[in-house]
Amino acid sequence: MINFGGYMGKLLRVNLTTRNVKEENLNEEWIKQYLGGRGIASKILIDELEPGIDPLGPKNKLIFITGPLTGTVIPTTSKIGISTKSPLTNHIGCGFGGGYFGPQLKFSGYDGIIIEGKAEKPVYIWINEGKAEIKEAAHLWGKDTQETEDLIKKELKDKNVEIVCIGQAGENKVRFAAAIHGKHFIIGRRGIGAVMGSKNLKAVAVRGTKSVSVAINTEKIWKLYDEILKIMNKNPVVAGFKLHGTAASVALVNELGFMPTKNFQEGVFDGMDKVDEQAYFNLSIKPFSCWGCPVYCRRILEMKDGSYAGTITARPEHQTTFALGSCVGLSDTGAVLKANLLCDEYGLDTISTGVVIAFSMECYQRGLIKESDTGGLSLKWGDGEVINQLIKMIAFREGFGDILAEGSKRAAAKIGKGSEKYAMQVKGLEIPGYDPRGAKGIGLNYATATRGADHNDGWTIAEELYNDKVDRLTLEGKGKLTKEIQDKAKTIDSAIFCMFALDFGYTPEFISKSLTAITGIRITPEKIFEIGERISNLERIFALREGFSGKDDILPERFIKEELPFGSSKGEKVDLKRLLGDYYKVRDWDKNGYPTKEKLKRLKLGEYIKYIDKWMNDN
Amino acid sequence: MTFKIISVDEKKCVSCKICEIVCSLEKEGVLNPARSRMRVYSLYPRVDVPVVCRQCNDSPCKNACEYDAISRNEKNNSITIDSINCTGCGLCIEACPFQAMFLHPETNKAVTCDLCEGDPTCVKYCPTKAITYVPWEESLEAKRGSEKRLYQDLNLFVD
Repeated sequence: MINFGGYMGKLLRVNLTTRNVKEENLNEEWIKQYLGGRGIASKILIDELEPGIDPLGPKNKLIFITGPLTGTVIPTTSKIGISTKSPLTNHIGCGFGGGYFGPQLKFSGYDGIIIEGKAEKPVYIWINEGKAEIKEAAHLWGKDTQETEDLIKKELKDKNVEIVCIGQAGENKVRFAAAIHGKHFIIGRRGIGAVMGSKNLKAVAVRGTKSVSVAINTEKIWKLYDEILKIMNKNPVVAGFKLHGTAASVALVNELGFMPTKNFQEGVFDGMDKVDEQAYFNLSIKPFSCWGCPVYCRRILEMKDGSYAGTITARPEHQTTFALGSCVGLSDTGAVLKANLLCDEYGLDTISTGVVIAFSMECYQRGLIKESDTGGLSLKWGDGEVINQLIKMIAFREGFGDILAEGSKRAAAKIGKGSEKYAMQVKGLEIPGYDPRGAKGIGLNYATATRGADHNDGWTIAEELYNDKVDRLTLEGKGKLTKEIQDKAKTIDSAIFCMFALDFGYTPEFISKSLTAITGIRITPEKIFEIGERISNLERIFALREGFSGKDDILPERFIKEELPFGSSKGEKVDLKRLLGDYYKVRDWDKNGYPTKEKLKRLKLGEYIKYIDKWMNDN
Repeated sequence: MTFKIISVDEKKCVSCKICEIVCSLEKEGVLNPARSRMRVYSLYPRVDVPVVCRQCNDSPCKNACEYDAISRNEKNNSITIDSINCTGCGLCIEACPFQAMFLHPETNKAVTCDLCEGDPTCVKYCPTKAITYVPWEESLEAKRGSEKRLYQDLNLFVD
């Protein structure tokens, strides 16, 4: 029995090689140090994975993880986290997706699942009321994520079962294949789907009827719930999200001149109005929601006319309108919607998919590749049919798609001819939809985030776009801003809250109050940041152990040498050296980007100092 | 007799399932949708439907019960289950045309919506007003006439 509220107190360990299944108690010391979610998953990975293993080999592990708030009435806490060593970055490869799976996993009696080894043949894991079973999945192999979801629900004869699965992209080990839950909730980036595919794991299905117990009495839960609902109902960001979801700032980012266009060559996309928030709002059938969330920021859309008439799918997120819209120069409402649907069906991350296609289009523009390399395809900017053809070729690793399926970094290494400088990636992860020249904090975050160029690892955009006191173009103070937001994000991912919770009216004080109330552990607002900082440093150590260092905290040279050519951010470049100096200082890291021993001791990470020592000796 | 009903406008439902979780907290003091007196079913892609007791005039659940465990609450027209008499046999669950009777996962007795003494918690917390508590005459259900047809049109319980 666990002594804290909010946790089920148990992890399930499933070994696919031996088909052995066992329960383990959740370590209470880990809870105090790492809270849950991302923190605990990173802790398990650093302690259980040997450095240098192949992410697509049987020694890699997959951690499905929830947090103490998952399955409680506290709003925006439905997310499921999945963590692994990423086949795209070789860093910690965690990702988070909304929907219903996280709460259902708790109701089945577990805080998380550790999946090891590799099944001989395709399988799926079925967890029913705390009992786990490894089931054959040969009949599901080759099916897309929507068919797979429907077939498993039918087979298990249960409407309440929740499923995370992969499509063909994951089966084919596309390095940026996603895991998909409930057809449109994407645990998207860094190739979690490929790791599932490498283990012959088609899906995980879960169902349970247990309660999540909390430390406070019912009356106090109602009080807490009413308090946060009152705050959220008055919050303007919540109102904006109800209409447009994450796409709410697409037109604004374009207006401010840092919407990445044609592989980041430009920052203003002339055709944005066909693929911005209003264009998609007009196609709405209905909103849909994550579990327990009063914001319901997602929508199902239907294309009624044109050559993509009949396409029904979820509204493209900000990142999708960028990656499969402006970044590939595509200004066709229906074609982007179709591309979004294909990515969901095959199980692909839309950001990496779009950015790697944009990379190939710039190579074509510059004559580095020709029709003879692409199987006859002319990779012209904005050709919707070609883009959708490439998505399929990537998912099935057909012809030229096989090269792109490796991600921008590896694809550029294969193509050569100086194409490396058009691969818009950091540490192997494709850059998301804010040009760092137009918001310097996000650039610093791309360069330093423990997961590669990830916007959610330190979403400075909220401050740089909407806080009057923060100038998006200045370098001043961005070290501190980025560091603090990165640390907050780690705690958010460990609780687990939606990454927009802080924008929806949650304050550090209220987060601390909720966590204390639910768990019964006194977690002050200061403690929240300390936990986040501990996780940031732990994940940094994971990267150092894999052989990375401050030398890898870089941005593509385009951002450093080339000015944005026109628009509201015209003339901007990134002085990364200055930003990094500032950042390392705020972090208490040395000039090589290594945490100092004193820092690690203060963060109670003393047991990992040995890796720093090893590096010092090796170099 | 005039009475109020939890009226369902499925077009407004977003499947957040807040109704399920607040129901379990109100009725049982726990966070556990499996113990809720209602369910939301997602009929991808066009509609989500909250399912809750329709207070049928002919009460098929009551007629099916062989243990005298089901009665009508005269005050608010809700269905009341006597948990002492209930054997958990499941006859009422089979008889309910709307699948709005549930087996409690722990006690193994039937449970259904009792309208929270005339102030349903689910209605209070529904963020989209997909469920409202209104006099029968004003309800969408009265306007539609047959609820069964709605469920048939949605293909909800046909597998």
